[in-house]
Amino acid sequence: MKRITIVSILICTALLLAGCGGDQMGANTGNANTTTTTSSTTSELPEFPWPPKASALTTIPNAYLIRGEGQGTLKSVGDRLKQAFSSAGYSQTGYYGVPGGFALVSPLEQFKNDGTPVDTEYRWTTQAALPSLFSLDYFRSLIIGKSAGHYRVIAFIVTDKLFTATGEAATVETAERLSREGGTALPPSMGNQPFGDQYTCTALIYEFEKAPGADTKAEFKASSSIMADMHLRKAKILDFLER
Amino acid sequence: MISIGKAKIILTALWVVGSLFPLVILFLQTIYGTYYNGKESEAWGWFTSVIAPTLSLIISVLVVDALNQKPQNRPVGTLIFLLALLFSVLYLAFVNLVFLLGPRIDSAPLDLFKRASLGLGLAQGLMTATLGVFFTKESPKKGEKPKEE
Repeated sequence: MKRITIVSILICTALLLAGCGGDQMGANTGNANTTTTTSSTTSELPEFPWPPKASALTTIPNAYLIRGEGQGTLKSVGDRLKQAFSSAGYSQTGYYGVPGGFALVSPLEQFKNDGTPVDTEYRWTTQAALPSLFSLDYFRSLIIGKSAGHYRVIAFIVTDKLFTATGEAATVETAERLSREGGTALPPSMGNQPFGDQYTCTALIYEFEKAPGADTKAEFKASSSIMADMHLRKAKILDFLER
Repeated sequence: MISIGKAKIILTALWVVGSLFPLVILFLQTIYGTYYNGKESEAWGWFTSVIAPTLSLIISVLVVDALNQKPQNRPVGTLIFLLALLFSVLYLAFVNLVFLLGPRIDSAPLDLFKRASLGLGLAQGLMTATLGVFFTKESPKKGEKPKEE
């Protein structure tokens, strides 16, 4: 009898513990569901590395994103950002899903110290731009040495969620892939959502620097040498958005 | 036919002018101190090895000529002079190009010097041989008349 009682107690205890575990799993599933729900609007888009870690960032006023009267939709905002990119020569961009919205990402481009894109020959390549023969830059390079190559990716994040740029540093390989592997358009379920005051648009600049020499690699710069709005101004993106 | 005195002046002028540009560039690069990343002495070592031997030979011959007051009006063999001139022009052009094209070549400057040395070695041999013959050839050929300077 005693043995049966002990066995019964052990079975009950085991069942209880299993029940607790089940609850816990349920809770986890619940969390997972919550996460899925949060990003349900972005499930049709690849996920942007989140939270981000940018070299510089700035907020774009919502007034720059809505043309004419009315509230606009996320699609119209996405289209406007895409037009801004396109007008500045960035013909290849990619959409990504972020919590509460989307990201629109430019390809990796090479730029000069002041933020101006380099000549087209070198703009979309990681090969360091060589100065034109006998130009002022050429003689400067001859005396002072070749300057480091500067590269950037511009990402517009449109979201109704607050975020901090405290993620992990991106690699240049990831940055190179982003514009190629992003979605070509916003899915209708997201694009049709109204763009209200709760949304903010943040421009993130991912900057990389490559020391002179064929065997060096571009490294992420935690802090950009110029401000994010200067990046956008020199890239002629801000000029379009201000119109 | 050209006199030995004039030929020496032409070659000396060529070498001084031809060495001046890389010398000034190297001097400025050393002053700024950013071109060679602290390896300026290696750059000077390379430059000295490609320019100094020949320039020293030319200057030392000129100094000896001046001290001994040798007559400089005897004619010089055209072929040997033209060969010395040609190899000197090509060699100095090559050395100048190595400096001038540095910013257009995507490699470290000292690596470029090392690679250039492969070709310069042969050119230096040919050029030094002709210059050596030219500058050290003493006696005028028989039957040649001294030329008035």
